[in-house]
Amino acid sequence: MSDKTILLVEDNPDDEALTLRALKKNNILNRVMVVRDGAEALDYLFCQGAYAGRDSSLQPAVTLLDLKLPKVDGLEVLKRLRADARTRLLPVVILTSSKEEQDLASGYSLGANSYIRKPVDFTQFMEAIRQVGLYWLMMNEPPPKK
Amino acid sequence: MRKGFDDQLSRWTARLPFSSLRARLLLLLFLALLPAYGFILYSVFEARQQAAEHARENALWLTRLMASEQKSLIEVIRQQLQSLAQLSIVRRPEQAALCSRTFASLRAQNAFYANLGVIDADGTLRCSALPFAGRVNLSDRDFFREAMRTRAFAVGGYQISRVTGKGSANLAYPVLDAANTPQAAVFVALDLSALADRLIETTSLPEGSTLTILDNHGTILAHQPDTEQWVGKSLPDAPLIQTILSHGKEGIAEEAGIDGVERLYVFKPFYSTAAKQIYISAGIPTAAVFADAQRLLARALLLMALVTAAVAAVIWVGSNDLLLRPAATLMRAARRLGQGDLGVRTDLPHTSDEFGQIASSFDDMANTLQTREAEAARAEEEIHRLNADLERKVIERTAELAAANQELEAFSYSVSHDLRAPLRAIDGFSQAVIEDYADKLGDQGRDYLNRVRAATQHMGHLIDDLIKLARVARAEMKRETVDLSALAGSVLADLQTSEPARKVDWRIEPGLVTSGDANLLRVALDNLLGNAWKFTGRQAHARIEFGALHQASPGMDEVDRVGNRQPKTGEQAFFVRDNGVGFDMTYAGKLFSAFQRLHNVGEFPGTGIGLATVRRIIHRHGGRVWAEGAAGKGATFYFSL
Repeated sequence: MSDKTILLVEDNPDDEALTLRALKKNNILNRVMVVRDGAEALDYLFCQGAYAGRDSSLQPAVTLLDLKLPKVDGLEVLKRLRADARTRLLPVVILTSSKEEQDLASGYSLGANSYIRKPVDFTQFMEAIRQVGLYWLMMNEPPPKK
Repeated sequence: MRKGFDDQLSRWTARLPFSSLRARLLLLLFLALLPAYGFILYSVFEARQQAAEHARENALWLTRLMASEQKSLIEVIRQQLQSLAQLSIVRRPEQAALCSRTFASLRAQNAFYANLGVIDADGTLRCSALPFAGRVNLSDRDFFREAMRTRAFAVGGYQISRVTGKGSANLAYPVLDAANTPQAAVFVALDLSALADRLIETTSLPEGSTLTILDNHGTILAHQPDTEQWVGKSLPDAPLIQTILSHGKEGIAEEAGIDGVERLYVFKPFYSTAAKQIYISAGIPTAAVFADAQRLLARALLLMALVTAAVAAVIWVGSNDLLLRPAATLMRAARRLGQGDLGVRTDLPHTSDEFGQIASSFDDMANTLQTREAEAARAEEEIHRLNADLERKVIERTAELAAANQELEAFSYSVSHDLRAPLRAIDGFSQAVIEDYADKLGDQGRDYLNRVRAATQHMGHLIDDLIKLARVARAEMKRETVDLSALAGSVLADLQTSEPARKVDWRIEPGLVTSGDANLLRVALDNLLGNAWKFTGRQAHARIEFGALHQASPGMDEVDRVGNRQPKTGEQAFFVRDNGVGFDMTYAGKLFSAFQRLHNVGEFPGTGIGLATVRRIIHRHGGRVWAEGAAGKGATFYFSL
């Protein structure tokens, strides 16, 4: 279980801290890789730029993707992942403040595996993170590696 | 009446193969000449009458002349016979042979003496101009018997001579002795045919005329021409003869003669005895009588036809310049105008005659039309320009509106996304402090942090509701048939699911169907039924009802309050009624404004945006919403669509 990585794409340090806290409080001790904008997320996942030397066979078990991001926004990141054979099957969970219908619709149509709205209430946020971790890290069988 | 005739005339002429102006002119000419033709025919008829009259008079005169000639002839014969009666060759029987010779020479001198002779008192023919054989007794002859009896000149009837074998009339004179006793009778047999021949010769009757001599028994004594065919025939039943006999004196008749030919017959008795009447009748052929009139008619008609032809030719040629050319010019101009060429003009001089006036009127009309067309074109251009302007403005405004909408969208998105992040941080870190530093916080410190968290979460709900309100305002409307009863059932079922412990008695009137946007109406019912659910939370026996009124009740109408609308008769209103805490009608006006609440958050949570959202939705449907209630006695929310 511990070899499964979580990729957290989040530009807001508060949300980052709260998410990491929620993971920790829920005893999800997997390695969490945090990137702070869309471009960095793409670099990481495609092992390019600053992450050129990364082992491309070690892809995150789940990517928690915020939508509103600097440089490249979340939906664009999702689109590029789904367009590339290497990342086409990666589980991506959209984790965002937006509850706009258009975001929901585009998220799912671009191939998001799940869409979770960050609640204001931290208790509820904790519960959401717990369920995401439980599902994607423990229940879900990851897609076969090439 | 006159107009009807004109109409009929023009309809009739329109049906003619040549219904042109020229043909009408010619028709007019013929109509105008009709009286002249009538006059000619009348004149000819008059001439005919006159000719007939003239012929009649002429014939009558001729007949009279003939009759008088006959009379004098008979008188001559009487005197001759009287003279002969004195001659010794007549008086002495022994000189009979000499008598016969003398008479024969006398007969030869006179064409119409068929015979002459002397008859003895016993009736024996003693002497005769024509030779005779043996003994001939003529004692039965009327002329002989009458002459012997009356001792005077006697005229016998027509008879066929036993001596000559010809038709003749005999005249006799007695030969008296000294004692005035008739010893014999000298006679002449008149050859009536020869007589008639002579009459025709002496009178100038036209070709084809007839002359007939007949007696009162209808026996034809002489007839010219064709004497042999007719002489001796008794035709008392022939129409002409009947006419003559019944007339008895001179007269005229225009009818068929005995030969069946129509003639003008003039007749007159010209010799009569006590027992006999002899008539002479002249027949003049009608054709001859009317020949002059016919010639006159033919000449006049020919002349008239020439005049007509000449005038027609003049009209034919003259109408071209005087009428047809200007008419054709006008017609061409009118046709071109009809085809839309408003620049066309007649180019005819605007004289004071009819064509000039028509041309003038036409040109004026064309001018007016052209001016109007130009004005219309200008107006149309103006309209086009204004339309284009308007369209451009609409496009501009639409673009502006779209930009504004986009901005609003971006704003909402931003609010939805960015305002919530700090709240989550405040709430999250407050919770972290409560959890991680519980030992350093007193009860009061924990209470404060909990209040911070509660306020943060309320702020989150406010943001969510504001976003919803904004979305309702800008969402696109799709009208469709919506089953409100089903929708209400679904909303209440959801509420029951969210709070399974609550026991609420809810009733929904079935079959309430309306037309509207299903999503928006769902939001409206979410809010109304959600409120009812919320405000009946403290009732032991909560009751929620959804139904419809068919007569709108003014109630405390927030629209009426501003005086904009009156309830419509027959307007269908739906309502959501509960037996919850209700509200004070004094504040009913504030119910539908955003952020207005009649209860504090401690009593019933809420943002004060729900009813504002409902009102927005109902207004977007063109309906209205109002409420009735009393503190502690429940509330009823009405809406119409």
